[in-house]
Amino acid sequence: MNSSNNSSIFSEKLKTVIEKELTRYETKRSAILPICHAIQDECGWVQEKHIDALEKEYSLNRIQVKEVLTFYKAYKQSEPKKFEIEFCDNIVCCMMGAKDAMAKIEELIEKQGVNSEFGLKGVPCLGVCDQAPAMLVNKDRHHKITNENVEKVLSRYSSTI
Amino acid sequence: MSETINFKIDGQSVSVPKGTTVMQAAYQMKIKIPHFCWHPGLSVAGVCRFCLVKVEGRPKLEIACNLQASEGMEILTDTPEVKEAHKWALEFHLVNHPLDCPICDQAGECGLQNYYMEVGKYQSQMERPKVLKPKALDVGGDLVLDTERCILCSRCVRFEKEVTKSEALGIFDRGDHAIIGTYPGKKIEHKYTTNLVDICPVGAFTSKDFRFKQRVWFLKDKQSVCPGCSTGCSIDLFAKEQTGTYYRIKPREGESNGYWMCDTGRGMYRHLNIETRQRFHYVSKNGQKIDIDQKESLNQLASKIKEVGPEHVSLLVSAQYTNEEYEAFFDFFVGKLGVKKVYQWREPTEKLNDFDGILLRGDRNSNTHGLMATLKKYGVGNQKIGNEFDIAVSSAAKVVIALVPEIPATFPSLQSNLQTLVSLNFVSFWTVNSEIEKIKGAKHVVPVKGFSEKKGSFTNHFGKLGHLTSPFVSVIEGINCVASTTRKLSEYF
Repeated sequence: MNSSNNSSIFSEKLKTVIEKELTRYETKRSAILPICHAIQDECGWVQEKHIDALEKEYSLNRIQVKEVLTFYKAYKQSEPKKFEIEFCDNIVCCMMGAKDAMAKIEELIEKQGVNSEFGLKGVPCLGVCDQAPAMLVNKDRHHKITNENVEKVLSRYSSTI
Repeated sequence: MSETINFKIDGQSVSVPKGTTVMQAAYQMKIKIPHFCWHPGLSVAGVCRFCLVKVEGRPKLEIACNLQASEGMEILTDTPEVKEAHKWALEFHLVNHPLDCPICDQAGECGLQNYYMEVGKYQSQMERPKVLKPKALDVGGDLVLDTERCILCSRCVRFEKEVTKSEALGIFDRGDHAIIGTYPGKKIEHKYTTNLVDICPVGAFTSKDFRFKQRVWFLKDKQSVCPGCSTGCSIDLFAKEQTGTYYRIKPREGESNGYWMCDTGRGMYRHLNIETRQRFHYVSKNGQKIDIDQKESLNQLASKIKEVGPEHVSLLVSAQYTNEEYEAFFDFFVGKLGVKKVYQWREPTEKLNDFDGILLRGDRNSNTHGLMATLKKYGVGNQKIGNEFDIAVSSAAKVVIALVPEIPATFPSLQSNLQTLVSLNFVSFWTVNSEIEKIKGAKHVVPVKGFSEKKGSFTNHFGKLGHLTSPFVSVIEGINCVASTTRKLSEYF
């Protein structure tokens, strides 16, 4: 591998993680998942330059990387805003009013003029159906979000802007 | 010897080596099990869930493509339960399919259409709108991609991975939004792209070359051999018989090519169409071109040969004709007349030993080995493969009989070579294509049949024969192959 290459866009720490993951599985392809997580954790999102570098420095096929990135909604392929709201839009949350709550969030963002700070997207199940509807704001998990309480939950973030 | 397994499909007993899947066995037995994603030349994906069969004694239906045959197994492919399953599987495949058959090139040879007639015939139950996806994308090579028509069988992705090893295609996103595509901004670059059109069971990949030119049900296909290089792939040649127009070439499963052929070979139908064909016998007198009939033409050639005597005749032979033609040609000129000067006519820029690792070879002649064998048999010419055009020109025989290369596309120097020959004393051009007409003053021109119009055989790179067994009627009336032209000529001696 090309770990001695000083011009790498990956930090030394990231390079260590990538190289470790690459030896962990039977095929290199299997390592794409943890590697992309590591890149996203450090850089916020997975950019084209990262995919280029993975192909060039570690011979990971760019098609396979892209397949993984587009398959999983948890990977960000565009620059995240300060607060990324990921709202579960799967069946249980929808039964408990997820769509209404999402509409309310959109309305609030619009009203408060914080478009540039807040992003909202629907994501698959967050694994807390018993506490539906559920959402993530960056890495904080929030349960039982409804039309009524969503404003209060979000004010915690909007007050820090 | 490896272990064999005995089992039954639809009551027919079969013995196969251990590890054979039910689908492979059925394919060999010519029992049709409906399928989309399975292809004999690719790995098993098991994604289309369409090849469901009943295994006697097991509760659920199983997919034949990924089911290894085991001893005593009894497979049923035609029970009401299986048919019902196929019907449902098909309905799922058609959930987001646009059904734009009237403008789709695949119509007439589409898996979805064919299976609908075989196992479908249901009333659609879908009320929700279809998912819309990108259409008419240029993804490189000969390919146009319509991602809406795609049923995500992944044959193309596996072809890219396993056959060309280029991995240029992937499946992005997921569920009903999943689409096939190249990496954003990149294109497929290898020379085997049209195979993707063939293996695509629906109309997602269509060929730029063939698109919108003809509906497939008007075309007649005949078995042939690709004359584009010395590999000699088995092919099916498609033409519209009423107009005598050739439209496309597809590979046929064969020993030399497996299931594939290259994009270069796909173009080997173009020179057969009438616009580029030599249609008449002619001679040039005082710079004037005079069309003559075959009798007159061969009579004149015979008198010319008699006039100068066989010792002043030379043969300039390209390697794009059949074994049978060489046999008849040399039998007469060398065996009967005693002509001694025989020269090979090959492309000077050719890289004889090039090989792209899949199918295409640097020797772009269909029958180099057949010609060499015939030369050896008659003990004439150089016994080594090599271009002797310059020697032939400088030796300046009084009469030269030139078997002109059939396919200009495989012979870049054809025009300049013909130019040189026209300036010689007397050259009789026996030719399929009309390249010679672009040059004024050819002394004697004889049109002959192309590879699609004659019976015969080519000897390929491995010394194996490829047979031209089912010729089309020639698009030009009253012309003959080299063999019968030679026989007709011999009547004047």
